[in-house]
Amino acid sequence: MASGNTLIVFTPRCNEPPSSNAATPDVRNGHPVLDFDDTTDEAAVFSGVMPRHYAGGGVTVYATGSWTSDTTNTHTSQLEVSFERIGDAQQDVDADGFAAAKDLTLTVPATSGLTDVGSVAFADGAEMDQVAAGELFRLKLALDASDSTHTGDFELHAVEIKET
Amino acid sequence: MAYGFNGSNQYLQRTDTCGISGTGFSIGCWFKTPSSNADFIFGLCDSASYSQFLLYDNGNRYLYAYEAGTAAVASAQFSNGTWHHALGVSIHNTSRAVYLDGANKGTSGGATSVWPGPTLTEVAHRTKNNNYWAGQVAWASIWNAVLTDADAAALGKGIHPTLVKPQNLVAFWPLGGLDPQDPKDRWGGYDLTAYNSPTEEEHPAGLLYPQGPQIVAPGTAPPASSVPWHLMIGSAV
Repeated sequence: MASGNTLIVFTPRCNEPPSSNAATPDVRNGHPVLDFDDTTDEAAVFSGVMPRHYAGGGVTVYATGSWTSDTTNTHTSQLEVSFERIGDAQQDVDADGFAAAKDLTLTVPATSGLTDVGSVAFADGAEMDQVAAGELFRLKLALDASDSTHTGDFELHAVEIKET
Repeated sequence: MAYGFNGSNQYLQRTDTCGISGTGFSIGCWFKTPSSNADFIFGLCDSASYSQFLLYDNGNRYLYAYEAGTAAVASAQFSNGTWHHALGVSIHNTSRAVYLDGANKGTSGGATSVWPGPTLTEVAHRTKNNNYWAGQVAWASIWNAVLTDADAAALGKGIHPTLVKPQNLVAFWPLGGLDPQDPKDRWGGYDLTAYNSPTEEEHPAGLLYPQGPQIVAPGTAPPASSVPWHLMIGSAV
């Protein structure tokens, strides 16, 4: 697999919400989104199998989002992105085992309804919780409200994992 | 397909309350009726007492969440011949709420003593007084939690019940659509039994099903769409 190619895409309808402080599913003009509050840390979780064509070059996670009402283009939203390797006897699924999160920042556009795309790179290995090709994993996106300045809800439209 | 009921003898039932045994739960479904008729759409009932929690069509196009003699009333009327979403929330013994289409919230107070009481789960029927409702029902669901305004809004926009507080979803009866046309619970195993052959009716349009991740093969663009994940693994979700 050449670097720079998409491996897997998650949409709001793939979400496996955590039991508390979950992002809320919503629809905006027919677009399914996940709403993240501006005052409470809320999260979304996605499960997938790392495609066999992942060549071990590390990945970059892209998030596409919009905001319900904020149009102050100096405002930002910070997502904490983390991987959990489940693999073959690597994780007790009765517990969570996400690796340390990395920050992904999106900037509010000046026009409501426009989207922004943010990204963050993960090196192969510990940053990805050692997820390897063919292994089951989870990806968590948690909005850090205290490190975000947007008002109203942040709306997550899609998440792409690309080989870096 | 959804299920249609004639208002005279057709209904769905099971003889327990799907593990619900106290307040702090929610019930929801999509419903459509050709003409508003004063009867019970979906809920937890009892054969002998009025200790029940049900979604109720009052006959004047108002949706109620009826609980043991008192009721929360939606703040707007529904339209005949159109699909609507109904959600009733039993918050505690002195508080309940109803939502029509994810909004139009109505609440009511007043102490009740529903539990222990309900012994049945019923659609389009209430065994007590032998009432029958005429109309169609789809995506009936029960949660063992108090759903929020945001949850109600999501459901009213057509989002699949398994995407809304799935940890608290107790039972989900699709009653057709992309799922088989049968009264089986695709989530908790609380299958209903159909009585007197309810009819197959057109399912609501525009509903948003769960979706699996899109795996992108080398050298290709992501697919324009993908099969809902619950269909990838068969009908059981």
